[in-house]
Amino acid sequence: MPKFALLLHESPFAYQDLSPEHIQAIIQKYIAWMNGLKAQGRYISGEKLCPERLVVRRENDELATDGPYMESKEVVGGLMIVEADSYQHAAELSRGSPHFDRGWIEIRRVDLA
Amino acid sequence: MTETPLVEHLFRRHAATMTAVLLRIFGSAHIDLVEDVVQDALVRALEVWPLSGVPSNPRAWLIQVAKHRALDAVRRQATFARGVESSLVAWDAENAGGGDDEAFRPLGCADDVVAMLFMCCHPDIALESRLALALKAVAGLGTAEIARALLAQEAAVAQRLVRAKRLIRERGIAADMPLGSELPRRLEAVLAVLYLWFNEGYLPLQGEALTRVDLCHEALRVAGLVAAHPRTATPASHALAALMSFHAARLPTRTGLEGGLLLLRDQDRSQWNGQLLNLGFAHLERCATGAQATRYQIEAGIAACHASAPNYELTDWSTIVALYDRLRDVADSPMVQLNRAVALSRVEGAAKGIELIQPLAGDPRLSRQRTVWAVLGELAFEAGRIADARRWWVHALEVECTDPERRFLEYRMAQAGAA
Repeated sequence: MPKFALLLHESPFAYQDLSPEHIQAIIQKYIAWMNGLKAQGRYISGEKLCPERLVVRRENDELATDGPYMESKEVVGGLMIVEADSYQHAAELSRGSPHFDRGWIEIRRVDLA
Repeated sequence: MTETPLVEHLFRRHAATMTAVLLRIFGSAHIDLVEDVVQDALVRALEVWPLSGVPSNPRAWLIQVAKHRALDAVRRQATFARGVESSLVAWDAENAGGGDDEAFRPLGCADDVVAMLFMCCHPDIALESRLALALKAVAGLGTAEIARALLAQEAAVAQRLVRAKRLIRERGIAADMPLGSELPRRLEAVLAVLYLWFNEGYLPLQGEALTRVDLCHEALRVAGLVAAHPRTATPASHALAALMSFHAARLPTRTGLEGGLLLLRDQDRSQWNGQLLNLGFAHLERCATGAQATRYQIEAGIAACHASAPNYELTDWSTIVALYDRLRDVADSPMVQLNRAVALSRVEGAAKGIELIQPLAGDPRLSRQRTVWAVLGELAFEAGRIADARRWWVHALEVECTDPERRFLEYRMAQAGAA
C-alpha cells in the first residue's frame, strides 16, 4: 500500500487568548479526524515539530550550522504518515482535518521503490 | 487503537484546579504569572496532542508541563519566597488530577479551589468584578465566554478582571480561607456570588441556551464544594446547594416545543432530573432551618415544595405562601411579592392574585416587567377575563422579550383567541 506524508504548514497563531474550553474543542476536532483515519486503517504515525529550525551545510569540507532560529513566518508544524491508494485518495483523507482552520497541507508520496 | 475522547470540560476544570494549586504555592501576588503558566500548559497540549495523540493521563501531562514552566520561572527570578520551589517539586502530577470527571464529585484539590473562590469573592473587590473573576478562575472561562454569560461587552469584562487582579496584588488579598470571626462574613460574600452566578444562568435572558445551562451546573458544582468543605459546610451553604439542585433539576423541562417557555404548571415532572432532586433533598436535610433562617434556606424550602409535589394542583401552596411571608421578612423585593401573590392566588383564587400584582406593574425596581404582565395575563385568563388577559399579554409583548418568552406569549394569546 502506498504511503504518503502529510506536511502540516501553519502560520504563527495567537494561542494566548484562547479559552480552555476553546482549546479543548480544537484538540477534540483533531482527535476526531485522527480517529477517522485510524478507523479506516490509514493512520501510521504523527509527530509535532517545534517551530525553530537549524540548518546544516557543508562549507569547505566543514559542517556549518545556522540556527536554531524561531521561524517568524509559516512553518511545517507537524508531520503525519498515512496509507492511501493515490494522491487523490490522500487528499480525500485530509478532507476532515481541522488543520485547514489555521494552515494548509502539503502531500508527498513516500517513495517505496 | 483509536483515541479516547477527552472528558467534557476537562480543560476548563483542570485549568481551575491548576490555577488554585499554583496560587497556593506562589501566593496571589503572582496571579498573572500563575495564569500564564496555566495557559502555556494548555497551549502546549494544543500543539502536541493533535499529532501525537492524547496522553494516557491528560491531567497529569498538563500538570507536568505547568510544573516545569513554574519551576523555570522560579529559577529565573530570585525573588520568590523560600519553599516555593520545593512546594512545586512536591506537586504530585499523578495523584492531583483525578476525581473531577464526574460533574458532581468534588475535585481533587478542592481545598485550593475553595480558597481561590474566597479570594475572588473578597468584599474589597467590586461585586460585578467578583463574579467575573470567579468565572475566570474557578469556572475556567475565557473573557469572551464570561462576556457572553454576563451579557456584557468583552472589553468591559477584561477591564473588570484587570482591576480585580490589581486589587488582589495591591491589597494582598490572599487565596485562602479567613480565620475565625471573619469567616462567616466572608462566606456570606462567597454565597452571594454563587447565587448571582447561578441566576445569571437560570434567568431566561437572551443568550445561548446551552452556555447558560452549563453556567448553572457549574455554579451548583462549586456550591457543592463549598457545602462539602468542613469549614464552610454551614446550613446556608447547604441551603444554597439545595436550592440550585432543585432549580437545575427542572432546567430541561423549562422549554417546550420550538423553544417556547413552559410554565411550571405545564412542565413534564417525569422529566425532572431525579439525581439532582435527590441531591437537593440531601443538602436540604443538612440545612435545618432555625430561627435565623437565611434567604437561601427559605428559598430552598419553597423549591423543595415544588420538587416534592406530584403535580401543580397538588402542590402545598399554603406552605409556600407561609415561606414567602418569611422570605419577605429577610429579603423583601417586588419579585418576592410577585411570587408570593402567585402562590396566594393558588389558595385564594386568581382575583386575589390580580389584586396584589396590579400595584407591582410599573414598579421601577422590577427589572423584568414583562413577567408581571405575563402573570397578570395568566391569572386573568384563568378568571375568565379574556379581554384583560389579551390586553396584559400585549403589554408583556411590548416590553423587551426573549425569543422563548415571545413564542410562549404568542402561543397563549392564540389559545385565548380560541377560547
